Amino acid sequence: MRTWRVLAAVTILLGVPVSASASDDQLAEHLASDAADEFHGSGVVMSTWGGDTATGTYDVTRRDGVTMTSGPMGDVMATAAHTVMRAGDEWYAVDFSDRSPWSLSTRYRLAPAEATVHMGRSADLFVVFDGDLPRVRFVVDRATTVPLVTEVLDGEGRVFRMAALIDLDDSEVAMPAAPQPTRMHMVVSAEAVASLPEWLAGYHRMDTYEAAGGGVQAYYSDGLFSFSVFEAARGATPELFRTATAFPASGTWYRRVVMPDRVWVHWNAPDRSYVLVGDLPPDHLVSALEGLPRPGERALLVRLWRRLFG
Amino acid sequence: MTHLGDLLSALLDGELDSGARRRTEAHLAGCESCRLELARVESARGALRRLPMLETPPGLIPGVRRGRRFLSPARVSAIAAMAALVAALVIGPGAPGTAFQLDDLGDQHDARVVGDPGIATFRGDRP
Repeated sequence: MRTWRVLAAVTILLGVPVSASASDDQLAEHLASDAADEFHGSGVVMSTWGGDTATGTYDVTRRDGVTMTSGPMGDVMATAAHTVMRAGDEWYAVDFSDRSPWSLSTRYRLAPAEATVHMGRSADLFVVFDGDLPRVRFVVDRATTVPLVTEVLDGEGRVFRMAALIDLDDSEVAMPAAPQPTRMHMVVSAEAVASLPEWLAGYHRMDTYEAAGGGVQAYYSDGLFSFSVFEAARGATPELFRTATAFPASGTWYRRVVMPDRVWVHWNAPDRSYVLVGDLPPDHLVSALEGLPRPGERALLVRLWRRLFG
Repeated sequence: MTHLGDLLSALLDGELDSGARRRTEAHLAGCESCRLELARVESARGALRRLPMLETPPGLIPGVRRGRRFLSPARVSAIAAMAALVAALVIGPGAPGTAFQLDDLGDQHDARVVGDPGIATFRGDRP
């Protein structure tokens, strides 16, 4: 599974220097700004979540508007026009038929920057607050505006995820090789999803799509973190979750798999199965689960009927 | 020697197939004990049938069906088999439904994330 690669993106976050009088508007501006920097970097990313720890490495190259992230578990190339992903020996382009514009939740506030030095480079330390809680800390390289370190904190102020570059080269960056061959082009179609809430724990349901393999995808974002909820007819539990850690939330139990850059959660409601995947913090996850259909078993007669007649 | 036991009730209820009935009757011909037992069962049933029918006061025992006979061994077996089938259908694992293909879902999520700002965004220049 190519789970490490999106978190690798923390290395390519900001494109504009940040002033000392930062605010939430400035945070949105910084997050949304185009980053024209050219660099090559390698880093480590890890998550620690309720006793589960996962660590991975990543490698990012950016030049001329092309960003290639690669590693042992997958490769992704992003350009202005396409996102191209590797599946085995082949690459395929993915486009969405509809995509709502990004916006940042008003719950986040950027504190004034503090000057610092990291990896021998001049940098700025930024803290993003979620209400009164520090939620994210960035150490951003001044020369390239590339984040050197990103720490994400849980609701109790503990770092549960960290990404750090261990190598950064912003001179003579080679152009990433174009992925070959790219034979497939997958267009993800919009699909109306009435069963999933429009808002979950402050995350807005931005778009809904047909899901690969059947079912639907609801994509939620608060502008800083994001997750997808996949809903399908009740089916078998994926192998990955059969021995996964069970954890309680809102009085019931779910199974989770912690990856370096994200968490996967699976559960079965009486008639539907769900997978949630995203980079949201643990406390946000628990709140989001409270708003979704709860785990449960079918009534006996329903199970009998389904077994006999499908 | 094995005696007929519950087969006697099945015999009286006419629930034995021809082979079982022949074997049962052959056993009765040579077994005084079973003949006496059969006579007792027949006598008891006759006595029960001769009892006067009483009207049950309305609401006294809701749902009780009058005239229900004791279940014969054959019926008990059939009911037990049906119960086992139902239990297997309800409790058993059954045919597995379609499982999520997590690689595909992960790709689809990643592809949507790409192009949006945010700390977990793998950003190129946005479309």
